[in-house]
Amino acid sequence: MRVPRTWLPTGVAPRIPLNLVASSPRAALVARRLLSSTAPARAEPIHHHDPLMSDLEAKVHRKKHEHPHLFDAKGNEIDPYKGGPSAIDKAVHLFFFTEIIRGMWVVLEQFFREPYTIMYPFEKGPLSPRFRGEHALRRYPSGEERCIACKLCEAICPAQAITIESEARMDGSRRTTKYDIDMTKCIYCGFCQEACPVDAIVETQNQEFATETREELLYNKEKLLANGDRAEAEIAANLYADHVYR
Amino acid sequence: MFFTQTLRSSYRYLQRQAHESPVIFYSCVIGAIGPVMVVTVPPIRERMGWRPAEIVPTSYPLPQRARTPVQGYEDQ
Amino acid sequence: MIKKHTQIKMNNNLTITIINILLNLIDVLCIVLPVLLSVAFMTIIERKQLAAHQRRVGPNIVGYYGLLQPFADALKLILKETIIPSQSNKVLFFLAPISTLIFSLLGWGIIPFGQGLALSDFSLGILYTLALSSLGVYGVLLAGWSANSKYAFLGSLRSTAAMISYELILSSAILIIILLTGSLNYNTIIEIQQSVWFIIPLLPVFIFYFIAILAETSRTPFDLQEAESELVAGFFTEHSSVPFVYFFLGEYSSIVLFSCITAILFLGGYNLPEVFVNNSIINLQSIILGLKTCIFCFFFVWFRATLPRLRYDQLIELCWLNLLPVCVAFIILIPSILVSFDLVPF
Repeated sequence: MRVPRTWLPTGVAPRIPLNLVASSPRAALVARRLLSSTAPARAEPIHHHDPLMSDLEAKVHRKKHEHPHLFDAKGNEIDPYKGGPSAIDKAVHLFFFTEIIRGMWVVLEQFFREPYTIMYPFEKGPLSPRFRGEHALRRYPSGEERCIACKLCEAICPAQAITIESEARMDGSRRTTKYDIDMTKCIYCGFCQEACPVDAIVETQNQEFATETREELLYNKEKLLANGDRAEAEIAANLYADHVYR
Repeated sequence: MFFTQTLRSSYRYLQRQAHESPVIFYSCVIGAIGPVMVVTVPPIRERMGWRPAEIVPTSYPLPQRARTPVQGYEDQ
Repeated sequence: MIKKHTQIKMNNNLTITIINILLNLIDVLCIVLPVLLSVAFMTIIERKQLAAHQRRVGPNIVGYYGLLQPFADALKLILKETIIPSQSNKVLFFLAPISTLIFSLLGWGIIPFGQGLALSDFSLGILYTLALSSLGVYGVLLAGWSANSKYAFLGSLRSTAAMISYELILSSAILIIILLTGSLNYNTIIEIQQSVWFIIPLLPVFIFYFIAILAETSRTPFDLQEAESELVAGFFTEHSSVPFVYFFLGEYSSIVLFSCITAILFLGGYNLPEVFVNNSIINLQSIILGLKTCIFCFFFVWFRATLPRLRYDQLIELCWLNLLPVCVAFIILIPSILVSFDLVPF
């Protein structure tokens, strides 16, 4: 299976050193590409006013609090815009939409790049071993069901999707006679899996179990056991992969 | 003294307008260029050798003679 | 004898009238069908291009590269149930989508697709276009009013104020072009641009013209009337199935129409100066106009991919406090240049 996104987490990394010295042509290209992450050249400093205040209100507000003419010690007026960008600079930024054009350029660059899309039914992304998909009931290698009908999963299930009925078997061990999961109620929280003392109920990595009728989503014990039998190797591998974190 | 004060304060005013509301300010500037051009450009062009074209006649001046009514072209 | 003669003559007249009407209908169909087809493809262009800007692939299953997606969509929408809100004003509820579609399709009647290739070479073509774009507000208004839903109502209220405000900018920009050409006829405007396309001398005017048509066709960043995040879907919240298709078609038809008008007003329409002579069997002029229209359609989607939606007060402020002064300044400046350099065209 192709895993097209593995480089993505590292893709953010080159963005952090912004003042990266272009040591190689590739680095220069990268720096050039990251137009979007360079600091914007603003005509005016950002005024941190109330975000809910409209611009009109802000203007009125600003006018009210505007400083009166400033004078230095000799009585000459001080130019309040000294050192800042000139009026022409501001006007150029405003009238030629410099920031909008920068934004549009970034968007246009993306237009010519390869899409990130995973062609889903033919191509699938990686799944975590902790992925919570369709449920399954597991067996011991001997073929014995793991479930001991302790009903912890039924108790913890926040959606009350699990229904269990139990009985003592001929040899005296307690087993379930009925283990139903209403998959239309299930919220895939994984609490049942965590509550289970014998790792009997697990959520597999299968997420493609859509059905055409609602009734097919009311799983019974046979269906769950069949799921477990089918995916036992996968489930065991996933549990093993995750066991150090449990 | 008063004159320089006025000049300075109006300069300050224009500067503040240019910084704070550039759209209005430069709109006024661009708009003002128009009438100024209408007044100043034709004399400059004339000095550089441009002669305005003669106005196209829009009516026929009546000749200085007795009117003779047209006859013989009526219908029928 | 005389009586029979007149009867034959009358019959003749009637046949000629009927044939004329049929020919006119065929003429109209020759325009409307390709336009509707282009509108359908505009929707797929928008989806594919938006996807490319966001580095997705977009619809690609139905037909090659998803080219048949609009037809699948249309089929889906037509097969859906038409839901009429019980408290709505039924007549206006259906009148709204129909009027939107009709007013945006009527605009195509005067577009010259080549020399002499127009349904009507109307001498006041631009006025007609402006009038139709004003009438387009009615569809939105009626939809908002008749649906008896607060979202639709708010959407149409927003849209009305915005469209009326931006109409002003749009007509001012067009006024400048009329001043330069001295004519309201599209053919004359195209012929005058033989020497230079108006986008070169009138670039600033083009910028605020384009902003105005973005608002006029209610595209991002001015798509307040259909702000999904606030108003569900805006003025057509309650419309489903075929009425919704009509709104959809009307909206995209007006996008293509305005792109076409922009190409005519600023890029010289079907003329490509001195490069192509239209002697071939293929009508190159129409193709040139089509390509120029595509440029602006691309711009429409490009803007949508780039810009976030404006807040309502920003929208109105941008129009009345920023665009209008600049617009008025250019309305003073450009005639002054014409007068002082003796270039007045009439």
